[in-house]
Amino acid sequence: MTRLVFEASFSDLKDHASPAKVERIWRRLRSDLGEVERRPRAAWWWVPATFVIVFGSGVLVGANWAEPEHVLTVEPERGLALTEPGGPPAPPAVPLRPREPQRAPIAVKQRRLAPAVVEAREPSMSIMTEEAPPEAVVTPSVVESPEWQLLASLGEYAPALQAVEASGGFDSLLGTASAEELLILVDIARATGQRGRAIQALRLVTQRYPDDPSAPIAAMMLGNLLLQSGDPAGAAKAFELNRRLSPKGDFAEDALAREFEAKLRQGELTEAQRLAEQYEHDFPQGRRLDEIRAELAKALDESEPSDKGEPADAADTEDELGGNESTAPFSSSIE
Amino acid sequence: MARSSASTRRLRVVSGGRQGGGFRSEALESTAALDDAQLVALARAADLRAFEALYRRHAGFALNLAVRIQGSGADAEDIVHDAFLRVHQRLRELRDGHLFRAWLGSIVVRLVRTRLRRRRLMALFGIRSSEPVDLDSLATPEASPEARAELAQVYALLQTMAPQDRIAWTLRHIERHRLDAVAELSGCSLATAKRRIQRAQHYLRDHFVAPFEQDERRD
Repeated sequence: MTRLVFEASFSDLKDHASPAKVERIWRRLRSDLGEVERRPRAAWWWVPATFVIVFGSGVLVGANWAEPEHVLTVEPERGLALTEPGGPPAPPAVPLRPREPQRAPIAVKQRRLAPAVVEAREPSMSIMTEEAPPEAVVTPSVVESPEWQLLASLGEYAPALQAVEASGGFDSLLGTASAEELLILVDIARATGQRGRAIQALRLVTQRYPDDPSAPIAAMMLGNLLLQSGDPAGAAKAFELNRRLSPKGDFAEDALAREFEAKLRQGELTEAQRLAEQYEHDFPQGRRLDEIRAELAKALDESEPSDKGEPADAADTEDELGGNESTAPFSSSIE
Repeated sequence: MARSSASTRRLRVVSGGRQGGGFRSEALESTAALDDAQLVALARAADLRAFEALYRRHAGFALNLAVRIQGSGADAEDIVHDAFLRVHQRLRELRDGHLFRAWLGSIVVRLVRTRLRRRRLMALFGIRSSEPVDLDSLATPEASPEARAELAQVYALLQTMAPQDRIAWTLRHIERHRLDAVAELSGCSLATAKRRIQRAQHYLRDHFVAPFEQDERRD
């Protein structure tokens, strides 16, 4: 048996729990919890007491002055029912579902609707007075990632795809997947040559989780895939979305350049020119400034003959002929 | 029964005892005497001092866990902050207050794992280079050169592994947790935890070069 690889002793590891750090996190945490320094209880105990007295008096006066119209009964076995006092037996009551502690609001609402008298048998007392102790239903941490995620995390995309199919299929998973899961599905789809599905999943990330930190990346990837698929209009929208979601993000510059490229491919020279100007303005030291200028000049030159009556949409025609990747003005940084 | 009523009395005394000057430090001292389960019970009843006591008791564990799994101190404070926020929001889901530490650990692990996955994904697409190993945040200044070199190499190798394997191995061999604790912290079965540790161990064994082995060979 080979020896254990790691032999550095535990004492060689640094302790990060410095009091300053712990205190710093606590201060942030406390402000996030909305907690201001609490005052001693003695200073405000009269607030709820006054409320109870006023409210209780109101209920008492109301009960004496108005005739009770309905009686709310809470049967331990049957649930809640409204009945006339001394009237016919109550219709079948709404059953109280087990493990539902939020009964107090119902009782309060009934009391506001009519000056009702609440008949509460023993089990319902807790319902009226305090929230029933919740039963923990969720176990803290015993849910394992699905097989397809594990396989994907290991880079085993073909088996991951099989596992996806076994867990109900791609489309079914798309319906419920979180942003992170969708991105894993994108990986699987792309690695197994299913560009359409990857696009579908990326669209979902941007539409369903626009606030997720991964949404700008998803928009960027979506733009690149759409550009590769020969949909420059869709790609331009995706790049624009990336810029909108993360205007000062890591990809803002690249997204603008790619949007320019997509517009060029669409043959929308005016829009491309506008984007080129914006790039020059926003990123005067931009890495792609020279490329953009050159491509724009080239496109404008090519467009001149069409103004004079020559066949238009040279860019589109070129695109239809195959969109040669090697001649694309920009190499794809995220795919 | 008698024990439970005594403990309830104790809780009441603690939750009601904040009058006069310096009540906060007194209260913290009194809560510090309580065990995790009692503090969890109080924190569930919106007692912030109890939550603070839980925080102060376990923040160090959470911080060290985050740094050692990540291999760097970057964002460790954010992770711990987020973990305790989640703890506060979901305290009612914890069945047994005695398991607070393990539960907190599993939340920290999940947050770190999400971060590692995201970074891996970004590195995969060339958006971001992988995070460098921050040896100074891992090793004490007193650590021997051999230990530092070993740590640096181990963490560099860990970075190339799948986050699941990396986390399991770190919990087992760096944090020195028992196997069942590794499984619980990683949110997987014992068998899966063992498999992950073994896979990581094989990988390390295949790629690890003892720091001074090469020099010795040259000599």
